[in-house]
Amino acid sequence: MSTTPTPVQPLSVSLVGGTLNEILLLLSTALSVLSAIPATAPEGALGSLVLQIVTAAVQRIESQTGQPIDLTKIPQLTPLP
Amino acid sequence: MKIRAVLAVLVLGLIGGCASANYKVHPGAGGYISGTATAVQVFDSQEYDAISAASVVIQGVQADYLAGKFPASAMPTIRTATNSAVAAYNDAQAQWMAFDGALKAGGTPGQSALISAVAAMNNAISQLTTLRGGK
Repeated sequence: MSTTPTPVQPLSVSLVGGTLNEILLLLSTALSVLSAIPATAPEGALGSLVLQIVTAAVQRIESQTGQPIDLTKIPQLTPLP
Repeated sequence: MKIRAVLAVLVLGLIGGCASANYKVHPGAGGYISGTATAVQVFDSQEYDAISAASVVIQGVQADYLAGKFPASAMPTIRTATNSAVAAYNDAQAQWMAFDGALKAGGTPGQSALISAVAAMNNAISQLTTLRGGK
């Protein structure tokens, strides 16, 4: 893990109905953010950064769909035969 | 072993996070979008957490059951307990869907039915995990 912060480019991909390439690009961007963290950073800084990444992704999805994202999906379960 | 330690820390962190004042309400819970959530949206989100966690436990036991990972003598008991947990879970899920939907529609639904259903689900999950631990 590098200790030198690297500039992070803003996402320019559609996260809605994303293709594999887009998802890989998102992961690549996330990893580039993580690589900017000094190896000695406390865990709290890492957690905060991950939260920022997720928040940014949620905001982007909401801006593209024009409606609030709903992550609360829970299915009914089927009993064992 | 290292991965297990990291996962344990993550799980403990999530549990601690849920119990702390820094609890993050799930986007969508009770119509929550961002900013400061109302108390009822926090309740809605926390009940969602409980139901989601129960689904993970149940599906794990179901997978083990179907893979034949339990002793043959324990299979009928495990099956009965699992299906009881599924029934309790499905009831809690239905109660939560109704509660969450009413909140999103701008209503003020009562919490008692959801609280009772989640308590019954937690009881069934507790029995299931006890049985699973004794395999």
